[in-house]
Amino acid sequence: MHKIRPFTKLTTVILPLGLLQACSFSDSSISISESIGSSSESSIGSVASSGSSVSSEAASLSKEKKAYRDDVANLTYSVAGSSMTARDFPNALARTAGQFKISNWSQEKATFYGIGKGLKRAGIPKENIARQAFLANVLTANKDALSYIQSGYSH
Amino acid sequence: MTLLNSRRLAACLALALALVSHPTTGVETPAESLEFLYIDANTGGSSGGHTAVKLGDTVYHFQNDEGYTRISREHWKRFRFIYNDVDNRNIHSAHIALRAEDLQRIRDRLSLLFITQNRQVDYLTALERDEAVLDALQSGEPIEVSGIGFFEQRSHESAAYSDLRGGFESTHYPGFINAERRRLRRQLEMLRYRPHAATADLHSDQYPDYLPTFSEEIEDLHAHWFALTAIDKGWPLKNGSLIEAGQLSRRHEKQWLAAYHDQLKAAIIQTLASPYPGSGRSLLLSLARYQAISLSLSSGKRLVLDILSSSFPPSREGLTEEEKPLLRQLITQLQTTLHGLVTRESQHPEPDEANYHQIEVAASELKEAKAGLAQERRLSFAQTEGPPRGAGHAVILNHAMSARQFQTANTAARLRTEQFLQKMQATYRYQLITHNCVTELVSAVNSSFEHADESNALGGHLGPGANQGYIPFRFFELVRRHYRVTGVETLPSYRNQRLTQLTRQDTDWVAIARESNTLTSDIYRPLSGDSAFLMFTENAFWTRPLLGTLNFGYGLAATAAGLFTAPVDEGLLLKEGLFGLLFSVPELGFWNIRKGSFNEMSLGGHSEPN
Repeated sequence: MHKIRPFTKLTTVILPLGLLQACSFSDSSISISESIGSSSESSIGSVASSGSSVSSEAASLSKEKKAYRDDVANLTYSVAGSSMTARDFPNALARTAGQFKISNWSQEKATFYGIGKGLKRAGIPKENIARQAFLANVLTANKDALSYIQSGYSH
Repeated sequence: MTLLNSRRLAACLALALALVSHPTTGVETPAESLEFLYIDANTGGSSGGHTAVKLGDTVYHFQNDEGYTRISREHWKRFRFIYNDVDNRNIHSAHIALRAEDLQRIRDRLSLLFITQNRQVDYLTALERDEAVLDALQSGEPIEVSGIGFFEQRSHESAAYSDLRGGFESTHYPGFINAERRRLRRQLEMLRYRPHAATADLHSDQYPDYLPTFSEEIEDLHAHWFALTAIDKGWPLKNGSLIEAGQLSRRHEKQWLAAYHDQLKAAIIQTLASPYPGSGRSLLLSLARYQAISLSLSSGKRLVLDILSSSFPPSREGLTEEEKPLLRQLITQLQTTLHGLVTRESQHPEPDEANYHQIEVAASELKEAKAGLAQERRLSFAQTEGPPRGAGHAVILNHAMSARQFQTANTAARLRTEQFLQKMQATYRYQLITHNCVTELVSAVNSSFEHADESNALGGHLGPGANQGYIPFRFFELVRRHYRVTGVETLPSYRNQRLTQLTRQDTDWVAIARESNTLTSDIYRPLSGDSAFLMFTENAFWTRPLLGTLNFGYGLAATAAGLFTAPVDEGLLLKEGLFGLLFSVPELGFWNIRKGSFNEMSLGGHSEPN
C-alpha cells in the first residue's frame, strides 16, 4: 500500500505546469469490455422476488434499476412545475431511459417509481399526482402507471 | 466505432477478466459511501493529475471536452480499469463519513447535473445535424435514420406482423394504417425548417425543455412512416440480422419470451397510437425485436438481433498467431457470459428489456469473435450508446422548400448552432485555474447543500479553487485536512501491482533491476505518447534527480536521432524525444509525472489488481 506524500510548497510551484494538460478525456472506450462488464454486473441482484406486491417491488429494485429510477426521479423533480408539456415529458423520459439501454420506458416499472419519487421530492401532494399536466401522456402509456407512481411516491 | 485490433483485443480480455475477478479491496466499501479520489499524474493529457468522487460503484468526474467542462459518470470498475490499468496511475481514495441523507443529496445533485448537461449536449448535436440534413435534403443524398437498418424493404407478408396489423386496425378502423402512412409521408415531404427562438441562458441544474429540432422531426416522421409500412407490407428483418443463441428447450423460457412478445406488442401499439417526439427509434427497435421473438417462438430456437451487423463492415486486418489464444479465451468468456444471461433471463418473473439486451450484445459479440477466429481477421465492435441503433439510410424528398429557402435555412441553422455552442461554453467554460476538473467537482458537491450545510455534512468547507485547491493533488490534501476523513487508501497502478507481485515472491534483485528501466522491463513496453525515457522514477525519491538526469540525456539522444528519422517517421521520434526532455525536468526537482502507460497488448490479460 502506498501513502500519499504530504503536500509541499515545492510541488505547488511545479505542478501548475502540469495542469496545462489536466482534466482531459481518457481515450479508453472499449465496447466489448463494457458489454461484458454490464453483463456480469447488472444481473446481480436484479431478480425481483416472484409474486411480490407492487409496493415491495418499488423498494427492492436492482442496483442498476435503482440508478435509473433515481435519474428519473431527479428529472421529474427538475421539471415539476416548469414549462415541460405532456407532449415533451415522454421524450425526456426516453432520453433518460436510453442511458440505461432501455428503449421502452413505458414498460419499465422503475420509470414510474422514479416519477413518484421525484414528485414527492418536488413537494407535489400525493392526491394531486393525476392532476399534473405534464404527466398526462405518461399516465396513459401504461395501465398501471398511476399505481406504480403512487408506489414510488411512498418509498 | 471501435475497431478491435490486437491491442484492443487483449485489453478487452484484460477487462473482461478483471471485471469478473476484480477482488474487493479496502476501497470497495459498501454502496453507502463517499470517497474523493485523486488520480496520480502521468504524461499526455493527465500531467496535472485528476480528481473524481465515488458514490457506491458510481464515479462522477469533470473533464475538458473541447473547451467546456463536461460531467462524466462511469461505473467504478470501468473507471478503475482505465485509470489504474491502462493509464497506469495510482488512485488515492479518501473515505468521508457522512449521513445517508447527505450522501443521497450529493447523489441526486450529481445525477441532475449529469442528465441536464447530457440533454444540452444532445441538443447541440441535433442542431449541428440540422445543417447536414438540410444539405442532404437539398441534394437528394440519403440521411441516416436509426432503426431502419434492421429491415429489408421488400414485401414479404411476414406472419409476425399479421396479429399486430389486425390488432392495430381493430382499435382504429380498417384502412387506418394506409391512411396514416399517407398522412405521415405528406407531412414529411412538406416539412419546412423553422429556426427555434434563441434559448434563454442555460442552467446547469434545470432540465431544459427543447422543442425537437428539424433533423429530429425528419427522422421521427420517417421512422413512424417506415414502421407502419413495415407492418403493412410485412417487411422482414434484413438477411443475416438474426443470431441463433441456443434452443428454446424449457417451457419457462418460452413463457418468458411470449410475455416479452406481448409487452413489445403493447408498446408498439401504444407508440403508434400516441407518438411522442423521439419515439420513432424505439418503435422500430421494438418492431425488430418483436419479429425476432415471433420467429424464435415458431422455430423453437432463440433468435436475437445481431446488433453489430448493421453498424460496420468486418475488419480486413489479419490476426497474428499471438492474438489467437487471446481470442479463444475471449470466446470462452463470452460463451460463459451468454449462458449465464440466458439462465438469469428466465429467472426474472417478468420480461426485462435490460437483460434481453445483454443477451443480444453477448450473442453478437460471440458471433463476431467466432467469425474473427475462423476468418483469421481482427474484430469489429460497434460502440453503442443507448439501445441498439440499427442505423440505415434513406433518401427523403422535400417539396416544401425552394433552393433559396434551403440556403436561408442553412444559414439560420449554422447561426443557431453557433449561438448555442457559445452558451454552452459560457455556462460550462473550461479555464485552467478557475474552472477545471477540481473546481467544478467542488462546486457540484457544495451545491448539493443549502446554506453552506456541506460543512456539517462533510466535516468542513472547501471553496472551489481556494488555497490552491484547483490543483488535483493539492485538493486531495485539503480534503484530508478539512473533511471528516475516516481513511485514506491507495489502489496501485498496474505497473506497481506487478512490481509488488515480483517482490512478494522473493527479493529478486535481478528482477528489480530489470524492471527499473524501459529497455529491459518485462512488464512495460515503450508506447507512443509516454515520451522517450530510460529510467522509471516513480518509486525512487532520493535518486530521482539522478535518474531524471539519465532520462534527460536519453531524451536528448532521442531528440537528436529524431531529427534524422523525421522524414521517414513523420517526426514521431522527435516528438517523443522532446516530450522526454520536458517530462525529465520535474524529475530533476524530485517530482515525478511520467509513469509509462499500458495498452491492450501490454496488459494482455495479466491484470490482477491486488
